[in-house]
Amino acid sequence: MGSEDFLYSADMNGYTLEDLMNTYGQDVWNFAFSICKNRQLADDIAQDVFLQAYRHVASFRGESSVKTWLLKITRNISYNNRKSAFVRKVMLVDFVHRAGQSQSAEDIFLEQEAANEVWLCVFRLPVKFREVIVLDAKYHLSVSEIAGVLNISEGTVKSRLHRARKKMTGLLYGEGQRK
Amino acid sequence: MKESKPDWYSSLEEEPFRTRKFSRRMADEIKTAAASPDTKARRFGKFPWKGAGLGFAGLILAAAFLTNDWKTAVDPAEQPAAFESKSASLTYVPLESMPLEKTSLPTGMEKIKSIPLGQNLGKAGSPVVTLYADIKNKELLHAYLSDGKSDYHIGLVSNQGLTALEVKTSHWTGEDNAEIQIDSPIGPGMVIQVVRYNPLNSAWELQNFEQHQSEEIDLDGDGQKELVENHLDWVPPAVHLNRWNADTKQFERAAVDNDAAEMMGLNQENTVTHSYLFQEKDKWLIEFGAGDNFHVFMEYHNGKLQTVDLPDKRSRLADLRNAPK
Repeated sequence: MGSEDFLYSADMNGYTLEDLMNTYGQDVWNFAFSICKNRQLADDIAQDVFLQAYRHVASFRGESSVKTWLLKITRNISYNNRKSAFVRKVMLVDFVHRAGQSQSAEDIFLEQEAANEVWLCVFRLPVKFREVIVLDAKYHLSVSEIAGVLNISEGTVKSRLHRARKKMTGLLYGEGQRK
Repeated sequence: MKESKPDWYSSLEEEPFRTRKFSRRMADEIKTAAASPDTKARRFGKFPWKGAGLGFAGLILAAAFLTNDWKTAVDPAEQPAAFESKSASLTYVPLESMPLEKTSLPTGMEKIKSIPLGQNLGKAGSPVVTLYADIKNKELLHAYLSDGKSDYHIGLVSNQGLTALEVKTSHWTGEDNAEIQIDSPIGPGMVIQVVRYNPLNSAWELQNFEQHQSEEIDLDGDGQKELVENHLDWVPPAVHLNRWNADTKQFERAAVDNDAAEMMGLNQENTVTHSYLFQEKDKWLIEFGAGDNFHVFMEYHNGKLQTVDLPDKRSRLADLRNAPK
């Protein structure tokens, strides 16, 4: 745990909450979006993550980095949201759009705003492969850290990562050529 | 043997999106919420259910969803025995606008149409909006703004080609200078986007209202249209109203449910509410309810909600849901 992390856990007042958001806000939002693929939900999840972090900082024992801790909270909240998401307006909007054979706003957002084709392919993966790739490639977490965030064994992380990479290769080099 | 990292991993070093950022506004909202035990300070539209209630409500709502119906309310509200005249002011939350970034006009897209917009937009010269079609999918239209000095990318304005797309000037701000309004067919309905020249920072700014479906309706018959979101395809349905705040120089949004729930004394923490805008006898009315056993009717007038006593008390939303498809 670096000195930067002590700052947050020692005294998470308004100022350090702001620091935390400035430092990790984008990562939290990106990871939330990579799980739920919905901007509004990602906004809500990001808010909940920082509120939880703020209110439960005492439970942060410094066994992981602040980033890993926040990503784990993000993942937990995102999955809770997925489970109850039918309550939320946005999921039905997506459902209605798809049923109507029209591109959803999120599909359009991804097509237009994804930084590159590799990210676009990541967002086409099923969520369990998507999250493991993002944690590995984007956030550079170790296998044990990924296992901690996803609450699965290290062996499962390795096999899931292998399969996720294989699927990505299929999407990117589908017909022998990079799309 | 350790698996080597694929070459495409380096592409994931980039942020996933070109423009989407964890914004200042979101950070401010979180700070406000963190500082306040009052759940109303939390982001509107949220249903912060907790613990066992969440699971129980989830089961009820899952069943309702699967039967193509929705029933509500962890804490179901009961219909008042008699009509009560109540009113409430709407609470508006600021909407962040995005400055347009300078860019070059695209070369890999097909130019479709240029629309000159006159000279009253607050910037010297005659701004022109030009529409370009994506080569792969010509239904996807992007708008670019040229103000005589620079070019700016406004963004995606249609996924249905020119059908129903309209670019015009408007006066939502009520200021001397007009704005550019783009009525965009994106998704199943229309999205209204407004581009205005901000003289305070000498920049063009886009307000896309988070690309919610919206329409212009004069709700209170005062001759001035409101920017209304009537989200019938949300679960539960919700009405939002957008307006320009001349003091803060920002657009802002009110979620009708929040203020209506407070007005009716409902505990929003534990209640799923709905609102639905409809027109009857040339009047615009809002049904606000919680579950199947409680609803009231309201009128909007100049930033306020007022309950109204309709002779016919049937839920109009239930009518709509039960109407033959």
